[in-house]
Amino acid sequence: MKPAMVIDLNRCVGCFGCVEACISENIARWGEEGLIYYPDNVVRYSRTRPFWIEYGDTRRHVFIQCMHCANAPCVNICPTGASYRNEDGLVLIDYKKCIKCMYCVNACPYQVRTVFEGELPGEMLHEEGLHIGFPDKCTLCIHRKEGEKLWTPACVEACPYNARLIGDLENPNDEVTRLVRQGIAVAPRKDLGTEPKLFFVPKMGGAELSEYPVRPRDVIIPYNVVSDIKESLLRPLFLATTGLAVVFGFIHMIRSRGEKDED
Amino acid sequence: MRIKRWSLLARLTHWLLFIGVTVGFVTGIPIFLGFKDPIYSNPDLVRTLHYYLTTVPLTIAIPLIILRGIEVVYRGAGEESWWPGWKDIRTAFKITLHWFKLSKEYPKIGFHHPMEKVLILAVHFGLLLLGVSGIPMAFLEVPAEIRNLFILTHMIGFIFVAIPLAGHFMLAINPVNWETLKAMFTDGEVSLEWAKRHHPEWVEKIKEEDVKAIGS
Repeated sequence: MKPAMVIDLNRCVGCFGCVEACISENIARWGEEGLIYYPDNVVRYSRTRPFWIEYGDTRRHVFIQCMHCANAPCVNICPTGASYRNEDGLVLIDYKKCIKCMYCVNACPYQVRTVFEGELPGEMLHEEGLHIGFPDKCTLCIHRKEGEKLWTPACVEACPYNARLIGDLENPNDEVTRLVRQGIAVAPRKDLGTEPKLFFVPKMGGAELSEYPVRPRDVIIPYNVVSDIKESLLRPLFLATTGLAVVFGFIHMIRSRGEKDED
Repeated sequence: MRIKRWSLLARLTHWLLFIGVTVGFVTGIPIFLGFKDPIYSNPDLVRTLHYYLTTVPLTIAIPLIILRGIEVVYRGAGEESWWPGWKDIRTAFKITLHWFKLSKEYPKIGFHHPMEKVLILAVHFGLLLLGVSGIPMAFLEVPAEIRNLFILTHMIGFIFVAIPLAGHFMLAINPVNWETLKAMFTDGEVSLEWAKRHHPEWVEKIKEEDVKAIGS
């Protein structure tokens, strides 16, 4: 299975029921008196966030949320494997492995990872809920998955106009697969080379996709380059040279033992 | 007979560097090497230690390093010069040949072993890279355009510090060097016998200077 999401911007009326659904599903917490919402400070921590793009006289919104990239810079840079791809190709976070280095937050060109710092009462509604102080992002509501069946994320379920679709790219009969194959649904900023699995059916002739907010456009070192240099050059260099230093150090120690004995 | 090898300033600087670099290394290595299971249960504490217990001693060490430089220049840059020259390269080459048993000749070593000079330069350069990239990342808001550059600079700085220090550590735990290690911990003095065996050129120079001093 290769889950992917399509957001049809022609159908989306901007009710943002998806945002509310995401908050209810993933951000809200459970307290003694029932469900707890924090509308003042947590709304912006919804895992799907609207972003407005101006194009001529038109002003339209797109959604910023995890693209579940096949070549995800956040997974590549993560030193501990806390950011990983699961068997379905979804990018998830193993909070037990996360050391809060925040490299992933910086590495994501789509700026989808946020960190909520502060105190919140109550408990998470599920294991994939908002972890305070940790990087947070869309999981496609993976906690809803049961067995090998494709599940419905909260935002897809909540959309009254069916603007959001979830599908399996490995299923040729799937509507999402059809939209992607026919080029009707397109991933934003494909030039970044991260191979996203969130697709949009554009409304403004594709302007939403070319203007899609990536962080920053004039970044000095391209995404994935830092992790490539680290993995292919710096880490092997460190391991090899420190290993040699230890080996030669011990040989030197053994050889100079005689000298010590003379003392 | 005992002779002074490490001044109080040198010892103080060394121990500040030791604290800062050790804490920085221990708390930073999980990020660089990426252990699959976290070795620390409290990442917040590790991050705080990495930010403060590394930065504070190293920042205090900066003026001391400058003072030490002034001290060395004042006392005469010749014997304690940190900058490797052609003579050091030749000496290092001869030492390497001797180590691999390709030559019987072992050159006379001055105050610093020529490899030690390279080590000092590399570590100071690495610390500079770590500082200029790490302090803004820890305490300031680095613009997103250059944050990747800062992370990469930090990693390169780590390499410049970690590799020479692996060698330095192996030499420090070698029993033949325990006398100078002990001197670094205590009064900075080593025995004349040890100095003659490990740094004969330095001892000869001291003697020459003593003669000059008596003569004047």
